[in-house]
Amino acid sequence: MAENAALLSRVERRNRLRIGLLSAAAVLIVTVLLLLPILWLFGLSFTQKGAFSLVHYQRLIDLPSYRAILLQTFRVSVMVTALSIILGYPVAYMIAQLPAKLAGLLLALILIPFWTSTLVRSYAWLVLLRDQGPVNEALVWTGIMSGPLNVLFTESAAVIGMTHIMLPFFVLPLYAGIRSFDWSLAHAATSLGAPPTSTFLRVFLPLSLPATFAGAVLVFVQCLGFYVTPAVLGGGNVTMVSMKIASNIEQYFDWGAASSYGMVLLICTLAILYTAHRLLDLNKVMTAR
Amino acid sequence: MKRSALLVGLLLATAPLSVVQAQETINYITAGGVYLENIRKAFLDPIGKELNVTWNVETSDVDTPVRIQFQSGAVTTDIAEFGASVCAQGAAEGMYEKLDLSIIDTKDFAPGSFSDYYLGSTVYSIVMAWNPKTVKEAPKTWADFWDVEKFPGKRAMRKDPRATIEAALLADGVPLKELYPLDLDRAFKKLSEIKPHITAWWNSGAESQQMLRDGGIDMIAMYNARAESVKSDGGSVDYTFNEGLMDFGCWAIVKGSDQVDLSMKILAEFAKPEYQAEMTVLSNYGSANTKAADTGKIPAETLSKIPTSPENIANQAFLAPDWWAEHGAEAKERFDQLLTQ
Repeated sequence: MAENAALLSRVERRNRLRIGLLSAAAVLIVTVLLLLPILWLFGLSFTQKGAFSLVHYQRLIDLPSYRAILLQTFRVSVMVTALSIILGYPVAYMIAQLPAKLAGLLLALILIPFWTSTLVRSYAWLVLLRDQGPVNEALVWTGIMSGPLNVLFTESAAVIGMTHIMLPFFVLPLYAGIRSFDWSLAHAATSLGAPPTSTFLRVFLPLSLPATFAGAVLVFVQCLGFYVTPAVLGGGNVTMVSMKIASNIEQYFDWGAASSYGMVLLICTLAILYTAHRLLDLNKVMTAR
Repeated sequence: MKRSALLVGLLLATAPLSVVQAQETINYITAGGVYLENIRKAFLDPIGKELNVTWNVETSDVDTPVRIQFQSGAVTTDIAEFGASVCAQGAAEGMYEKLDLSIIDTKDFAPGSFSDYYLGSTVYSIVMAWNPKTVKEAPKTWADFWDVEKFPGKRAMRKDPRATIEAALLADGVPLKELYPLDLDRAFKKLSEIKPHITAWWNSGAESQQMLRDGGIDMIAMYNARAESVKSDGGSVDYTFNEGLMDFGCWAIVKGSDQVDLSMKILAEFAKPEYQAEMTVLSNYGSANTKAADTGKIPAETLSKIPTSPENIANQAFLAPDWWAEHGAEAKERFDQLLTQ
């Protein structure tokens, strides 16, 4: 008995060592390519002409434009994420229930724009959304609007374009998550007399939350760093943090000025993700099954 | 006797080979794309042949690669070509060699298109363009651009304080020759007047064309060549060089280069009107050397479309790179401030 226990713990230790060694390469890559550069940027953000300085952070506090840009970046990202959930959830839900052939076709329809250049799609929206463009002409022709919407070169245009580009990033992980859903649970609920709405709300929805959250995080985080689409469709009326970081490098000839803002964005993002994680209590959701 | 004659003959025949110097390599950095193709055809290829230089070209829009070399003391780039205010900024920080103006002939250069540290290459201008279909009467000045009553329509400007601030001051009545030093307070007051009427602010030249073609913009401040290319493609656009704001590309020799003397000789060639005229023919950019117009190489039709031809340059002003190098950051922050308000 004691011998067996000793053997087991030896095997376990060996396995742990093996796993450790196997993941060493990944740990090394993440450290060298991700952690070290972030630390380096962190250091730079406190440096001015080689000496320790808070000047870059002072600037972020003194000039209200930095606050406004940060706020706009988060506002746009939240709107795009929300729209992606509203538009993407039903799509993923539907595709997961279709027969394989039809599901494959619909997934291809989602993937084809996904593989098209972001820049091309942004310019396509520019043409679609202009005053004499098809969207406005259709609205006026059908009498829904009496004149063009004037949506181009506004924050709304940026949100529309970004949502279009971000949708696959939401739909695909959610679809993967829903596909592994055990439909017998839903059948069980139905056979026990639950109406379809409450089967959906009390069985399906809670179990799809982790995948929904994963997709939403993917969209949200990418939105925070978006550059091209809001630049083209926002017509300069939308300034994202990434644009300001780029212009800071050109205007101060100094990485410190840009890295401080990058740091603030990183910390805000981590704080939001942490809060969302706590609020949704994902671990509980995931262990519930 | 016969044999020695043969030997001498052989020696003479091979002589040209022996005096040919070893080819030197010059590391050159510039923007890429079509611009680089034209720079190669107009300057690098012929001058490389003449001075027996091979080019090792790197491309970058910003001076970061040179800056990193300079700061780490490992300079490999010999000649850099950037935008004028980038050259001026680098010069202020001591990154570039002082030019030997005794061998580089700048006497025919447009005033403001060179300094002790950098030499103008190509000249472009931010001009006022409009859609003649929607703007019936042609606007003439920046004051007209600001006049939203007389010239109604959607407007766009560059999302950059450079040239935008100058335009605001011109609209406010500052004379063309007395722009500098720029009065930022006055300029931003004037800019906040027009801001509610600016539908869009463009970042890249391509965007400005797109706005004019597809974006429903009626009046716009944009690069002259971009306006011209929309026009020649059959787009409904007109523009004026009146009160155009010229900026230019610049060459500078990186301090720490081990080819300073040769680079100086190369810049002396770059400065010559024949090469500059060739660049104008290829690219429709203006040339810093005003004598390029006299070489006979540039067709009259092209001359009317470039900012540096005698009649066009008269009513324009150069942006002052040195002023922008010193105050650019402050102006940009205030500009971003205005846009996010």
